[in-house]
Amino acid sequence: MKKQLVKYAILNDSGVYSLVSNATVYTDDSVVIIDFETEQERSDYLSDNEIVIEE
Amino acid sequence: MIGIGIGILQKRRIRESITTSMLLTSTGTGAGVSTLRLQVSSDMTVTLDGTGKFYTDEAGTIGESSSWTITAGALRTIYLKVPSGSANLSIPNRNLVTKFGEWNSIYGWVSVSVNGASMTITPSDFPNITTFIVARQLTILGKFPDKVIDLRLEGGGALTWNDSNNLPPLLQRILIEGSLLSWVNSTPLPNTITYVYIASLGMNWTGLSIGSGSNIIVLFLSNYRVDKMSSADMVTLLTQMTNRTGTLPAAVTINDYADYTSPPIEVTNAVTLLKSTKSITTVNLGA
Repeated sequence: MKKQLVKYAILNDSGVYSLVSNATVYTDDSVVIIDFETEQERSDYLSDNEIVIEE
Repeated sequence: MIGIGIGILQKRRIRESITTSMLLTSTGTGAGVSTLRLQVSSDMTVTLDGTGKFYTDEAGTIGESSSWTITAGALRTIYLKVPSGSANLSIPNRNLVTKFGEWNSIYGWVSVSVNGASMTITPSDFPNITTFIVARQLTILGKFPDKVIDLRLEGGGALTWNDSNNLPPLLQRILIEGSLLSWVNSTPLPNTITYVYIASLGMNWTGLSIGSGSNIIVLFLSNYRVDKMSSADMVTLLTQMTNRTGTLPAAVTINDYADYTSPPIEVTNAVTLLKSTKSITTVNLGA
């Protein structure tokens, strides 16, 4: 298990993406966490990489 | 004679008790269209007084009428406008109403944000509704009836609710999203709950139990309490989630947590046990 404090993160769990903001994330080692300093940076990354967040 | 008089009086009281009305108020230019969707168990004709009119098209231009006959069997849709002042939507038998919208954003009431009518409703006037799905331009007074299993309040406009009663005991799905919604309560969520999404700055649920027995597919507590949760309370909640009967979703979010930047070891241990016991992939404890 990994434990990480994030600001504006994208979690990638086997191709299923979700967003987490201002939180400590406890997740399996297989889940990729990409964290950003600002919400805009995260938004730009999502747009640039055409990542769709499931509601 | 006196006995007959009392009998008439009682009949009148019974008749009066099944009727109800909802106040509709014009906002802005009053040109905006509102949508009303009801399901009834027996055909019923509802009416609008004042300046209010029903329409059969979404644009609010066709089939103008002061009455709407709702045919039983499925959710029925009507559109309305209140161009000025106010109007009363009169329901001749409130006990016949069984649904106020459907879960998948099929709103029982929704009004355009600008110039649409605003409605005031007392949900407990409708004891047989199983759904209450609404968005925008609505003031909700008091508790929801016991038979409600789906409750969805979506803001994005003036959607107001201030209440402290318990949730309906058979509630299965709840989605609360909007800034003018305020529910102050600390009791466990119903044991029937399967879907929990609360993201409203005015909410203040300080319960430490999500109930037990049901399989929960969504658990997203974003903005759900005013004062941040302590680590001690977080351990209590996480432990309840671990020990409860029923599955939990792969990802769980619990915000409004005071120590989110540095959870103590007790919280981390409780999360570790929860993850392994309930096969949870991700637990987010946030601000």
